[in-house]
Amino acid sequence: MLQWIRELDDLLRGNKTKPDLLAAGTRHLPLGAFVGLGLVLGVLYGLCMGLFAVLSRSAPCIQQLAATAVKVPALFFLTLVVTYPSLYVFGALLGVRLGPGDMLRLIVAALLVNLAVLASFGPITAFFTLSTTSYYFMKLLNVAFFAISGCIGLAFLLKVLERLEEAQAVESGATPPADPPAAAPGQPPGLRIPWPGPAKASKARDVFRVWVILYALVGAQMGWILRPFILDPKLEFVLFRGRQANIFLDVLESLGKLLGGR
Amino acid sequence: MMGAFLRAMDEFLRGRGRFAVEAPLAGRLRWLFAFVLAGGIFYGAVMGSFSGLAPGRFHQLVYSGVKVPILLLVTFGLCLPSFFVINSVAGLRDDFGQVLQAIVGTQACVTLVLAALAPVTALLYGSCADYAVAVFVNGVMFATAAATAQIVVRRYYAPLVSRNARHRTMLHVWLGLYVFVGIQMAWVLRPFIGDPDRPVVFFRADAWGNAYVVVAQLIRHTLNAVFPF
Repeated sequence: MLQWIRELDDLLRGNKTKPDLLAAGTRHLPLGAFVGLGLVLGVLYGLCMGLFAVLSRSAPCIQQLAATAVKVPALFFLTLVVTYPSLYVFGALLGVRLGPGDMLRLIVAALLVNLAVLASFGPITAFFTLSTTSYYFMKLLNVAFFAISGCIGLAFLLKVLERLEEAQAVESGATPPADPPAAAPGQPPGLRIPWPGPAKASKARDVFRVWVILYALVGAQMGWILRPFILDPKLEFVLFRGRQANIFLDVLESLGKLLGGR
Repeated sequence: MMGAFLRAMDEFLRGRGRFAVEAPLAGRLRWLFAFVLAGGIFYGAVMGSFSGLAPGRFHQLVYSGVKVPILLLVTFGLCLPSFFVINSVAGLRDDFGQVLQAIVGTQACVTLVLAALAPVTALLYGSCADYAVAVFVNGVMFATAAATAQIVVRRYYAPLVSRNARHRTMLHVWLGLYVFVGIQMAWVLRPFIGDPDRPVVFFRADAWGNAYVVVAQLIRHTLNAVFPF
């Protein structure tokens, strides 16, 4: 466990994503330890989040606490499972140099950063849970914490990718990305040498940028499918709710209800 | 002991000696926490004197005295984990020792300014017996202390920001987070002053609630009053 914490610390500090390490690939990112750590951190935040169901009702709903502790890590890893294949396929089609293992390690690392930030908000969530009876406030607070930690995790991913490109560009002796060389006058177009080194590398960033949007949307919808996480004190515990509306409408509705004094 | 405390306080306020920006960090933090405790307890006790000097209400002084450092330190403790992780992710971990000194120093400065303003609070208490005025006076004192503490923030953050501009963003993150949690903490810890017409209690039975929900309700009531349709 201590070793895991050291790994997490190294990742957060950026020691694992130094350009000289990335030049040799991503094999130094321990996938097993990252997944284990992600699960632990997810469960920790889930416990803070599920506390509302225990404290907000006369009969504490322990099942919801347990369910949320499982659902938070599940939310992240299921989102990963849903979006990883498209990342890999589009990346491969567009000529991204990263292999499937590299891509997986990178996004699991970003996911771990996301979960670490989220778990670090745990004490604040628990404190507000202790002093709040408004279900809508807790919902919006959690949405905000998930959004903030998600943005930080994804920004980390794009940053690492940038470093990876630079490291690999240096490794392959390529010059920094520039406009593709225009064909010399009189030269037949077929003779243009479209050397893909750095130009292809920047594709990785584009693919990941699009994927980040997909990931955020799928993550939000996954959260909606897995609800309830917090459990409205007026409702009974169920493991999953039926299909209705979507998370974006619900957040707006919650905001209205909070302003409505509920 | 008292002499050492006052000497350290003087050095801290002036940013000299042990508390100079470039001085080594070791040994500073315990002094800073000592300032938070001493200044906080002192101002809290004066704050509670509005109603706490009446016979049988002396424990209001103790309650208020304990609550001010609790407000600052528990808020600090709740916000620290996320601030630490966000700093690490931003690649600023190596500076975290200095960052910690800066943010604890800010709180120390807030409490020392409050302690210095305590006689003014006491004077205003003595000249007006209205509870609402007492609440307002304390609001002004806290706002003044928070604004003055920006001197310490700038002093300790300036070299960090010049080294890496991301520290400026991190400072805004810290202030946002701290104020967000601090407002709710202050709401939960009420009463600080103690309404003379109500019995002395550590926690008000009806205080357990959420400040932001109350603000949302106030906004709604105001809107309803302005646009009654």
